[in-house]
Amino acid sequence: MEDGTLNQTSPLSIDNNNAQQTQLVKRVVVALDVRSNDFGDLVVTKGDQYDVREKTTDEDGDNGGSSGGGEKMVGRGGVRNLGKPVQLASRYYTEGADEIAFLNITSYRSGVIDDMPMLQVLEESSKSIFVPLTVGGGIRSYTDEASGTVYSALEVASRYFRAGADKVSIGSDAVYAAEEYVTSCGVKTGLTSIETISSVYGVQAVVISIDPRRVYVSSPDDVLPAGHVVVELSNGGLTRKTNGPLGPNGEKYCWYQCTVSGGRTNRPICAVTVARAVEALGAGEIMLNCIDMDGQCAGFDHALMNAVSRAVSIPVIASSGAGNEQHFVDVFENTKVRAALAAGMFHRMEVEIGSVKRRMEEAGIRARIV
Amino acid sequence: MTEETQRRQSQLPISLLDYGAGNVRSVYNAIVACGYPNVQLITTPEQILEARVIIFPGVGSYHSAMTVLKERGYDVAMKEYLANGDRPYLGICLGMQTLFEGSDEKLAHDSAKIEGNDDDELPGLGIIPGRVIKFDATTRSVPHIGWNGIILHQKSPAMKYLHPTTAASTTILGSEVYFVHSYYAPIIDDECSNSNSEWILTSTTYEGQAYISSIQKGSIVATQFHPEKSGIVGLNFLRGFLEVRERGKCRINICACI
Repeated sequence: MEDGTLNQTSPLSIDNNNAQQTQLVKRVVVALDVRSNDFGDLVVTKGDQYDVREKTTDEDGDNGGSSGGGEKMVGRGGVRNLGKPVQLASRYYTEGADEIAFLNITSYRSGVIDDMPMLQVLEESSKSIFVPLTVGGGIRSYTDEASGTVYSALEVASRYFRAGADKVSIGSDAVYAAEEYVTSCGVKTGLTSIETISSVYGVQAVVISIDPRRVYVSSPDDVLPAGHVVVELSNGGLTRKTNGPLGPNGEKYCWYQCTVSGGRTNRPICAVTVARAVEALGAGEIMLNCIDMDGQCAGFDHALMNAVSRAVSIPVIASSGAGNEQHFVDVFENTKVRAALAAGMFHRMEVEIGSVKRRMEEAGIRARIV
Repeated sequence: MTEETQRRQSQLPISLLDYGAGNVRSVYNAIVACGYPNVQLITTPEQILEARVIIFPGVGSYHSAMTVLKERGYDVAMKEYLANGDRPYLGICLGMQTLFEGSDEKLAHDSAKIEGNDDDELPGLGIIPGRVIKFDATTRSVPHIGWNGIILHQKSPAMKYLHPTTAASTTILGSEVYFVHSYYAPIIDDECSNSNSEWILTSTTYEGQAYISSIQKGSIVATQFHPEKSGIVGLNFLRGFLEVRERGKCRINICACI
């Protein structure tokens, strides 16, 4: 029996006739793409359109617009170093990031069970970062070739949760699961990583990362047999409200083809179809990237964001393309996304999180101000 | 509080109920960050009965949480611990939902729309009247994920480090806290025989749906939101709770006499 003052509560008046509302604010998420550099250390990188290695033929020797912050390895095809993951994540937490997402982008090559550094990043981060942490990359069943031990996706995810992750982000595995779900006309095997992880940890613990690229078509009929969802683009180029740009030959339509393995391989399925399938399988949230927009600092792909967020009832996080504060305002004003994510513009210290949130508030979009 | 009292208090054992389903590390880290390094994991029902304070971060699914509580005999021990409402308890997320009579969250997640028979359902601890039900997904995104505000229904010493403001009969915390849930505990108001309104510490609305975002009665406190994920605001709530459960009038009187 405690003898403290804890139990000394007193009621407050509540005006039941004029019920007060609270509001779910829009979230600003910061993503850190993490990989091992050539020396085996974990570093934060930011690749343009998923091509992380530096282009060796750089005319002016500059790394495409980086404005400082962190060391850089220039010109010999080395990986760009933008600071150590834990330090950077802690800084973003202090500056007001609502969530931190670590993407372990090397892990589709080497199994995550061996990838102890990523677990250490989580353990260290969770000591000083008290906002949600998401981790993605390699959340699939894995066979250790040396010992022959098979680790299920659930076991892989469990390690991440124990290490301090709140959510795991599934990429390639989710696309394959969606394809099977569609091909089987909606049969759930119960064996997909989405289903196994969400049944134990809850749907809110499972985020699906979708990485599509635009495929332009002249007419929606072009893809009718395949069933891909076609989006109409707008005239007038890339202004902030339209669904631009049009295709290179003036095409007014496109569909969004999903990729796997970090954007390396195309799959015959569209982003909207994948989104619907993974929602049915037990995903709680979608992180929606766009290869065409990634690293271009021209804003999010509104056409894609709308197509997906209107097709599902789970929250969608806009990703890829943010370059300034206005892009966040634009995507919240013009689409139904609940959150928006950026990486490079924060890593390069071109924009501050606080500045994004102030611009949002000025535009009447509620944000969490720290 | 004297330095000696503070030092002694920070050594008090905090019993953490970890049933192995999800991220408990952040709760552990948050407790330590608040200045209480002596965190002990509960592994037997006896430890529940002997605890000085229990923190139950319930993550995962309602069904898996209640299954484990039942299998390990924690449910019986918890009911005894909570019986008089005079032993400090902080439940988080499912640690709040399991206090109610039951939940609509079935064994398989609901997108599958598997209707289990009633035998599949595990009742909650039944401390608080009411049932936990799912958000209506036709007009809002479900799960409810993100930062939302809280309206205060009670003044509590646990809120000593938070600074709510009152305007037009509504006391509200100016900063948001982090929620992530598909199911919620509805407010059952005074007119109903099964009312739970005296338990409400804070309420929140999500797209117009009002629900209980935290409870307190006596020394039993529980939050739907995650204090360990709500930045400084969450840590301040946790710190307040831990501090006031042992800091009592009698101690202050003793110190005054010395």
